[in-house]
Amino acid sequence: MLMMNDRRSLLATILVAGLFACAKSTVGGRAAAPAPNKFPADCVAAGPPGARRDSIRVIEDAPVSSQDAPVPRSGAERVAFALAYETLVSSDCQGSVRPGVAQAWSRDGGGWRFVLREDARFWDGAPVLAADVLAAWRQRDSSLAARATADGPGVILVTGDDALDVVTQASAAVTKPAPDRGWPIGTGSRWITGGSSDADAVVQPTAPGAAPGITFARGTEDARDALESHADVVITDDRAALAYAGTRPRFAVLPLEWSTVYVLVAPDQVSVDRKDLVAAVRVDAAPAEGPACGPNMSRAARPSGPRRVAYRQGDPTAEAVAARLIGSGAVGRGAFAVALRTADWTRAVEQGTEWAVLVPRPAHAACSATSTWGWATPLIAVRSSVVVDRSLLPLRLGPGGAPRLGDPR
Amino acid sequence: MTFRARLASAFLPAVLIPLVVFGWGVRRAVGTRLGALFERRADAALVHLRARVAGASADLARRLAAVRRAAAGDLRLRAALAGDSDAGYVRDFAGTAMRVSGLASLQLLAPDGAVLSSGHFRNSYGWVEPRLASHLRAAPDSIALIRVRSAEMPFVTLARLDSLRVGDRSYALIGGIGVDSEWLARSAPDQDVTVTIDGDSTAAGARALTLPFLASEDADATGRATLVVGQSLAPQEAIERSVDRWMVLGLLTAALTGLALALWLAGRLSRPLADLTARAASLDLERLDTAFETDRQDEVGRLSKVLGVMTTRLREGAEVARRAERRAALGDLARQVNHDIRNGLTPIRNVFRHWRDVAGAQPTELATVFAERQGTVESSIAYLDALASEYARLAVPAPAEPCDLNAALQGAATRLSGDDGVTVRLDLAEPAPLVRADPLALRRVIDNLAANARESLVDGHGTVTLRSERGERVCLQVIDTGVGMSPAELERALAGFHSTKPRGSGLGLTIVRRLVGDAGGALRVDTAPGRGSSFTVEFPGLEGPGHAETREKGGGDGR
Repeated sequence: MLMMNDRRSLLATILVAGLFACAKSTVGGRAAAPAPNKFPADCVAAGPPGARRDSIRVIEDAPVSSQDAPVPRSGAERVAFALAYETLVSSDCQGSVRPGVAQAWSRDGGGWRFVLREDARFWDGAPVLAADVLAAWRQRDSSLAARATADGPGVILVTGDDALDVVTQASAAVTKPAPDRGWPIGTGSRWITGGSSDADAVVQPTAPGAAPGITFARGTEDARDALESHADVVITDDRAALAYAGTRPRFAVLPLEWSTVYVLVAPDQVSVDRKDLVAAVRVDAAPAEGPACGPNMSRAARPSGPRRVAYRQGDPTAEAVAARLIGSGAVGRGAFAVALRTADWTRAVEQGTEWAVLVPRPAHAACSATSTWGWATPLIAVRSSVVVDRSLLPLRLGPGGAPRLGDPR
Repeated sequence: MTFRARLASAFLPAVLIPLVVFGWGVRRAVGTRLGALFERRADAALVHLRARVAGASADLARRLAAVRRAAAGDLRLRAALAGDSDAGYVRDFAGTAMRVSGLASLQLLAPDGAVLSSGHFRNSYGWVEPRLASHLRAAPDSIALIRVRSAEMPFVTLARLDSLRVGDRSYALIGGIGVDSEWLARSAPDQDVTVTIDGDSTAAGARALTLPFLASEDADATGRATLVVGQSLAPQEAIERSVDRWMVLGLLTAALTGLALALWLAGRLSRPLADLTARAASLDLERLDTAFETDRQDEVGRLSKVLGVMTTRLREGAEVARRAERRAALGDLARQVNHDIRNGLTPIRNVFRHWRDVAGAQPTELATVFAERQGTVESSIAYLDALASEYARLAVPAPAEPCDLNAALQGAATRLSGDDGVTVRLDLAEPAPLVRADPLALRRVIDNLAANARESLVDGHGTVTLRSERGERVCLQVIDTGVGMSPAELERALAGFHSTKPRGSGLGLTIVRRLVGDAGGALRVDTAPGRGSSFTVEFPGLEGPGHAETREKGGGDGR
């Protein structure tokens, strides 16, 4: 019976993947990530139209925190922030540029010229001016701010051919600080509240009745419990839960893009069976691609003692990868894994105080773009998926495949 | 070394040695009793450890049997094992079963030793441990200490073997409980006993329990491991240190007390002796009135009485000696008086003999001769008169005054000139030297020396030379051509009561030496038998502005 369920899960996954068959590549370098997801060409997750909802309940895999906004660090934040915050222009799942805070954009010599929407407003009703955009960038992305100038209150010039790509990044979102140090004040049609330890984060429309409110609630340890509850959406990277979702006709599984690649930084290149590592972890993973990158800096501190593979405490995927590296003998006999607190782990990553260290990196960052004291070998890429009640379909897929829950269909 | 020091040095060993022997005996007895107690406790601890291992083995057997039954009833697991499929489920089986059964390690091994599922190290699947099952199977009671691999540090378990049969294949099921510091601590009956792995089993009070051992991460590390029951010797050492401390404290107290007692006792004993010593030290011939009376009946009392008797005897003897000395002094004085009177009478006798001879042979010349020699008689009479005054004053010396030495020598030469066979020669220094002396004493010196010189002449014939000399000191010399003296005779003559002359008193040189000494001068004698004698008297000269005046005043004695 269980075998039957697994087979059905696999078939369901294949079927769902087939819904998103798409040949177009996504934005950004992905040297270490596996083959990009194949999203639907029209960036719409199709399905029979369901009834309109007044509210949507999302069970998240990690808390949606105001401390992170507007740059997502989990699948739930990727979905939530894509709804609540805007950039000058945005892209859909295929990378096609769509209007955002800016209503028009055009080449301007060696850069790009963005014209702000006249009706662009912050959540508090204040108009969005070019100075506000530059202030937000200076606070969050100084390199982008250095490339940008205001040409009047409604026009921004950004130098560089890649300006159109850069302004679509989440770090380029147009925000201003909240007086209560809570959620940054954005410009979208939805705003976000809650998110504290005793209140769920809620994304709701700035205009009453315009769209359903979306509540992001923490689930139990096992994401399968959420699937069996009355959740409308479950965001998870748990492979068992996704397989289980595949067995439930009520749900459709929408994978997000490969967001994170686990890299082993070691003194030497490590020959490792990446497929074996994928089998060792419990999350939705795929073998990373690309060769190891050589060191471009020297170690600040040479470790002594036994060979240890260090990972950040509380990262079960890194723990499983490290355990498999040890268990398979890929890093030699006598080596063992060690969990480090965040401060120690950060020091190990930056200064090389451990023999080797496992580092999760954004998938879009090529390994050579990061300075390391050792060989950085990409191991596996992981991603979260959004399991949605089919009654919410169809859905538009935003950048990275994040579904725009509650948007007009 | 004083009596007190001797007593103190003897007292200390007498106190300390018995105490040291006592303390050593107590320490030895305590050590022996504690050692026996520790040995018994070690035996009891080993029994406790054996029971704990046996209990753990039985508990492991029950838990593994439960896991085996659960595995046998898990159809998905059976299907996966039988069909070599559903590897993910198999991999997670041991983890779930390990947590449910409360084991620290659980492994499911294929018949070839490959790890199919590991509860404590999920991702060690595929690792082959071919000897693990056979090693445990060969171990007594199928139990052994296993150092198992984990993703992090390897750890030691007390492991047991069971087996799961699926179809015609048998899978090893190996479960263990962690032999960590907590388990080892609980294996000790009390806190003073410790249980360690491969500790020092040769230490005092240690016992060992040997078990089969296998290191799963190292195929070569197979053998036996020892659980060592040890116990801290700290309590025994603390007791021994306490005994040592108290013994040292007792020794110090006894030493100080003994020293104080010895000093007090020595003081009590030596104080009477010191008192006797002080009183005895104050004794001399002039003071023999020290009292030694005591009421003590001990040795000190007897010594005091003996000293008292001795003092009485000494006092009586001193009185006898004093009387004898007084008699001898009177005799000496009488002889000295006799001698001095003779010296004064001799010129008078010579003058009267001269006058008698002149009155018989040349009566007409008598008046002339009388006039010539009248001075000599008067001088001798004056001398005797002064001598009498001198003796009347006895030891009261006359005041010194400048005297003309040449005049004194000329007077003596005149007094000598009455003897026919004596040739008197004067050899006087000019100007006349002055000496500070009693004039009478100066005449006695010169007359004694001149009389000795005259009397030493052989048959009364010879030459007597009287000389004066001045230099750094003023000297007078009386030189004769007489018989001379040997060194022994000279020594006796200076000592007194010895004379080479038939009628001599033997006091002349003694008197001379005393008088010269009183005047601050010195007497030198050059003599030898048959070669005559030369007596030299050195006086301190007179210097200063009053020299000429005093010389004129001193000339009156030259008659």
